[in-house]
Amino acid sequence: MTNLHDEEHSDVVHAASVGSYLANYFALLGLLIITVAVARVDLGILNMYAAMLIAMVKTVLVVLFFMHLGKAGRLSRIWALTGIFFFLIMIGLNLTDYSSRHMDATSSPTQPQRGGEQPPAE
Amino acid sequence: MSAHEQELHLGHQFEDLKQQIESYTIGMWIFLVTEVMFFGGLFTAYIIYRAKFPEGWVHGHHHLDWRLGGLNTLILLTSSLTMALAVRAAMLNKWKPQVLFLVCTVLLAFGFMIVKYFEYSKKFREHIVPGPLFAHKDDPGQELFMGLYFALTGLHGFHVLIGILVISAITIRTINMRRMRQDFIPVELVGLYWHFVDIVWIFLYPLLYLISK
Repeated sequence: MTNLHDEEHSDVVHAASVGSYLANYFALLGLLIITVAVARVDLGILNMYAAMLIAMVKTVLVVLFFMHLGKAGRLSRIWALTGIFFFLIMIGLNLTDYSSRHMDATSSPTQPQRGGEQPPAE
Repeated sequence: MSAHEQELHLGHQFEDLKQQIESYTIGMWIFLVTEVMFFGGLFTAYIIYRAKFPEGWVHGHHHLDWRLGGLNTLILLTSSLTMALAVRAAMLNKWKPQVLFLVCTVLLAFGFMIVKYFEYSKKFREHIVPGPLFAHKDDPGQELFMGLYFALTGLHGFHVLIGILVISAITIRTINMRRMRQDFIPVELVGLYWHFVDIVWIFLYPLLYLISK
């Protein structure tokens, strides 16, 4: 670990060029157009995976170039990964639970008991 | 550049400016992790109920206009750009462009809320708001979808409102207080928050508006 006092303070602020922000912006707009275009083609279940993949790429672009996480300190990066990690744990455990209970829409408690909707007795 | 940093106030609890800025940034990222978990609960509910009521999701999403959602995505992405440029101007100690870009960001945020207002009021008129007046009572999945739509976009819209308030406050303080012009940290931190709000919408748009079939 070098002594921070000896370092130049130029790495304290890290302003990127206007061009790099504009390039990132147009990349995001391009991905937005791709998202809409892909959604208009019927790919079945692949549609959702494609949409989520594009959203993740957009997120990476925003996080790296607008939030400049790459130039932020190591601890900031660890915290960002912690957020993803615990989010995945929450989704993973919940899906494990729900997918092993064999519940489907027909056994839903909201479905059958609807007052006054019984077929009229002949 | 070095003259700029000497004017920055160094808190007595910090070793140097680098450590001070890093500490503030880490604090903001920790807050954003709690925000990820906050929205994450709703996203989890979305995934589970979409798996349970796939038809309800397809029927429900026909009430949403993908063009208006796309317009709002465009507005938020642009506001992220102006926010990033405001942070850049603040870092370079150019307070006038900073104020200009912050005002642009607030105006775009208002644009987002106006589009949301038209979307919401249309749904209230057409009785597709969950509750006793819901028009498709025979389709519980559809009502659940609309419930999650209002919960997710409502919470997101609330974050946009908070963003408008904080960015406006920083803009006014930058104009009125000379001392604020030396410190880019408040702009940097609200920028991180604003980009996070943008990221949430990046996921909400395909999940709510772009369901195929």
